[in-house]
Amino acid sequence: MTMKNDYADTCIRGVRKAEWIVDGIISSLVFEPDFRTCDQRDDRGYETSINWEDNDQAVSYTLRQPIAKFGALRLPRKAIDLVNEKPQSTNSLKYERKISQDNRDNPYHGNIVYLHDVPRPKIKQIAATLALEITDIFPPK
Amino acid sequence: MKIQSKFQDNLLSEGNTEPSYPIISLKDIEHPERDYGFPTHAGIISSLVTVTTSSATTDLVSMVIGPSPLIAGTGGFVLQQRPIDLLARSKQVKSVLQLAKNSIIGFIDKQLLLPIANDFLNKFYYALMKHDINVSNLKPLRAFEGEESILFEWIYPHWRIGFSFEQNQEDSSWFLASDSVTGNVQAYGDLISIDLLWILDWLKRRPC
Repeated sequence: MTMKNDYADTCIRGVRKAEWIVDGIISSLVFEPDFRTCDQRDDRGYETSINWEDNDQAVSYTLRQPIAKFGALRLPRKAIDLVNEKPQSTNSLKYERKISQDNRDNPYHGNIVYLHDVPRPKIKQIAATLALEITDIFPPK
Repeated sequence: MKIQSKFQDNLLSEGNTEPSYPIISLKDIEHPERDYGFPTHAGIISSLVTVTTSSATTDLVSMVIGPSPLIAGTGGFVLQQRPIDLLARSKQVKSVLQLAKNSIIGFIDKQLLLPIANDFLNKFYYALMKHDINVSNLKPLRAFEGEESILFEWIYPHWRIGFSFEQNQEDSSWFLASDSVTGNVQAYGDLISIDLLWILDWLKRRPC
């Protein structure tokens, strides 16, 4: 794994809802943020929880968590950067490392954060853009 | 008559900020079927559809297209196929949308959204029937249940098109996302003023 600015090249998103997968096909819903999270953030952004793939154990660790009850996905960090580089969605996203309130022992945890001023239709479009860049799907353990 | 489409403000297709295609607004399509089955062949022919066209140089023009030439013998609009062709095409279009239609019935927590989502599928059926979109190799539209939404989504390796129906209807929206292989098209808008023909045109010309 390579690291740049403290972020791994890839992140893992847990599939915590069965509804996000139909017949093995993954909906863009998997990258939609939890809109309620803006209430807990100073910047009022919306979080999509991820684990940074800091080492070879990150995937198996994620798959053991409740957030990955239905599997997990691998997304290159570059996919997030590409969204921010597009003229239509410049700086709509940021990413971070952040201790999970649900599991404070998770060393990998972070978020993709949709900025608060990004309109909801655009958030859904960005979620679909990210979903196009999924490189791997891991079945649940 | 000048009609302003909010979609035109929202259209974000790269290099195309002024759609030159006719615009069909879903709210302009009359007589959607209200039941949970698709319209019948006769229903298609006798339907009335309002079409709004636009160009960069002229005001938007609204025109009502009457009953199909198949019945009325008046000129003007599509449905040039013989009935047997129309039936075959109807079957094809149904096959693309039926999976989504069947799926949403199971979304027991989304009872309030079901009629709206079902209406949309019926309108989309009409639109696909009325335009020369080759649906024979189009994957089935999928339906997914979100937190407070129903999402219809076409999922291909290099592009996705989605229609999201929210509890708060003003938040309902559509999107198109394509990657570098398919032109990096990024577009979205609200469902109230959806430019369905723009989407259909993209579907018609879809790269893969």
